[in-house]
Amino acid sequence: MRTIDAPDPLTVAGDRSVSVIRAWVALYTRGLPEPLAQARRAVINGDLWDEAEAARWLDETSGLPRQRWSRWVRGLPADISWRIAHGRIPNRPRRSDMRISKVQLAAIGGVVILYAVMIVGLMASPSFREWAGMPVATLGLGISFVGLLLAIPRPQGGFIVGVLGTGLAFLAMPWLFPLYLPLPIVLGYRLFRSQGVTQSSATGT
Amino acid sequence: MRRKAGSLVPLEVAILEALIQLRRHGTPEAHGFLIASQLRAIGDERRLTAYGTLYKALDRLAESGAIEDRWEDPEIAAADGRPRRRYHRITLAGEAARAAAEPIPRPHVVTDRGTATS
Repeated sequence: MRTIDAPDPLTVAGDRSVSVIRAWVALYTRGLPEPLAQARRAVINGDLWDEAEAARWLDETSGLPRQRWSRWVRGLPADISWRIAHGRIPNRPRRSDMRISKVQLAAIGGVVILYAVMIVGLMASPSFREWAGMPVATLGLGISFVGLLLAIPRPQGGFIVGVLGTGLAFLAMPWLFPLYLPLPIVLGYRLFRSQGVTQSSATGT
Repeated sequence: MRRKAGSLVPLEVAILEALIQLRRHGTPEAHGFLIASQLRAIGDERRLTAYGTLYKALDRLAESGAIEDRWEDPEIAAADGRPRRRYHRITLAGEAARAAAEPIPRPHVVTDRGTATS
């Protein structure tokens, strides 16, 4: 009799699919009620086992890893939507400073579009291609762009990254300073508002 | 796009059809991989249904009452030296839902070992 604690018969030499799939299942079931998570892990584990047994029975083990990878990848969207349907991601504190108003979102969205246009314009413009400051300018704009997006969930982190990126872009293209101005203003406003919310919720007001 | 409550997507209809065909051939309840194999036979496809897609659909069918689940006796699984299986069985509501849906051609049956017979 084979026991579950015996060496894993699912493993095909050189194939990491089973361990990757198990790790993925463990990841997306993390933080769910244990019976639900355990049931999901068990059905996937059972399926992997039966799939391996069928491949062995049909003498098709050589195609087994590929089949597993394919089934795993194609099922990723369903895994994610299943997870979303069963609850939010754990250990992500419901921080009040993550709240974002429509005004803040619109402001960030506007600046994101502005920066996207600047990046695309910079990279597409023939006159800028030969310019020595181009890499720094593009990097600065790119970092600023990331900072804007980061500011939606994390105002403080987004502010730091955004201002850092803007500083780089300013060093490369100081003459375009008026274009950079909206970013620190928007991010600063977002940070200010979120800290205000955090403090008021901390004091119970 | 949100779907109507109680409506079935093609995969769910195919799962119900797979369970009906398996039952007709002496397998009243089936585990996930057997259903995936049967789906491949029904659809005349090369690929098995993805893990996430299959079990999400099975969960939905169970929630809607179209199928019933039971976990295998752990002693049976231990005696075979493999993980426990969750078995699925179509209900009367599931049969009615299947009957109300579009027909699926090409009846084949897959045995527990994955071989296909017509």
